[in-house]
Amino acid sequence: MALLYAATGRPPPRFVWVRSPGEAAKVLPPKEITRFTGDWQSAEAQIAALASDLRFRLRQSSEWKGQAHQVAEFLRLRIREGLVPAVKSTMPVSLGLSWSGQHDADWQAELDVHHRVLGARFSRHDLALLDVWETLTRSTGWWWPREDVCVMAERPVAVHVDADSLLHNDNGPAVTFADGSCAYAWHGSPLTLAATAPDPANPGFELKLYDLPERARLLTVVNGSVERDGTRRRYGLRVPRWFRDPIAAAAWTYGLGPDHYAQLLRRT
Amino acid sequence: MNLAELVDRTSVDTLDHLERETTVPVVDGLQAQGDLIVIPFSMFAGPPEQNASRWVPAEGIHLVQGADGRNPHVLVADPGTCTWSPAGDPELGLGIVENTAPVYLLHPEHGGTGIAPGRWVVRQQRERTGFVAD
Repeated sequence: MALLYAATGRPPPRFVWVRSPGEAAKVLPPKEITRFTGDWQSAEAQIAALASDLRFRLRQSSEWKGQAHQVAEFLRLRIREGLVPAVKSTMPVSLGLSWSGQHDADWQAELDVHHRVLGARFSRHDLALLDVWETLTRSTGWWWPREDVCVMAERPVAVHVDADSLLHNDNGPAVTFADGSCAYAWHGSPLTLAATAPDPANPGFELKLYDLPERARLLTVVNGSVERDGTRRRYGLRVPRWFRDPIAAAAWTYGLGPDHYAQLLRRT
Repeated sequence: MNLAELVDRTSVDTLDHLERETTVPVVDGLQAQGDLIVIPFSMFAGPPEQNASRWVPAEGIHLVQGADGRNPHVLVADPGTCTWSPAGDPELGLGIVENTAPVYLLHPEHGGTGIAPGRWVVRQQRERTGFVAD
């Protein structure tokens, strides 16, 4: 990190460690990122310029398709479109420009494949800079560089994925940080919990309704029968997005009204 | 009736962790077995149109085949106690069960469940994009 600050002509910053990106919001002021109206000479803007210039130069010096592109797409789908928005959802406000530490692996891996596997020729200066970014990816969680301070978040304590390495957990949060902040995901899609209700048809278990990215909601229901290992599987059902009440949504999946669903005597 | 007897009667086996010897409960009311729901006929304002009914044979009827033909829901009844009438429109329901004695639904993963004598609409769970394959 000191090397990155040095590359922008700055002394090393003071480091403030937090347990999660959510906790970073307690030490940094909110900042809009969509319309960047800030100072282009700021530490974060100059570090952003370093990264984008590096990526531009390295992309110029190699053929951008085939194997490296496949690696990048594989990682982009899992990290950039799954983990990153899920982690963002744990933050109460936007804090402006930030980097994702280990979750910046996608673009760096693409450059790395060009360099190590496909033999692309990069300058020594650029390789040294890429090495700095890769070191950060190997060693940090999310970070927010500011003028004289850099806020560093610890990495998650748990990440769950499905068989395709897509962010997913049937039974709870897919990403959890040490302070308890967490996010849910369903086969790679980050979810926002919209409502929960006790399942009238399955005592002791909850129906949960999540917002899906694509104009629908996902109802998750715990199976009535136990699996071989003694656990109960939670499965997801897509329902129309107008449902606010999980019981009404569960009833709809069986073509019933909520009053009738509540009369369900047994579900196996 | 227990699960072992239901398995004997049909060609459908269940997962080995399901209890074979306990009596399968017979439910007189709304109940679901995985993605299948059994609804009392009286709950319907407009019950589905039904086609010709037929007697459920001793070896049962596969109501839903499940993905790849595995995991069927099988309706099992003593001969002469139950008729099955497929519905004209699967959106409304799979069909109607009419039984004069307890009948059973058997599923490899969910095990068995009993249906009390009566008239029932059987329907499959749906999702926004179609039916659930379970």
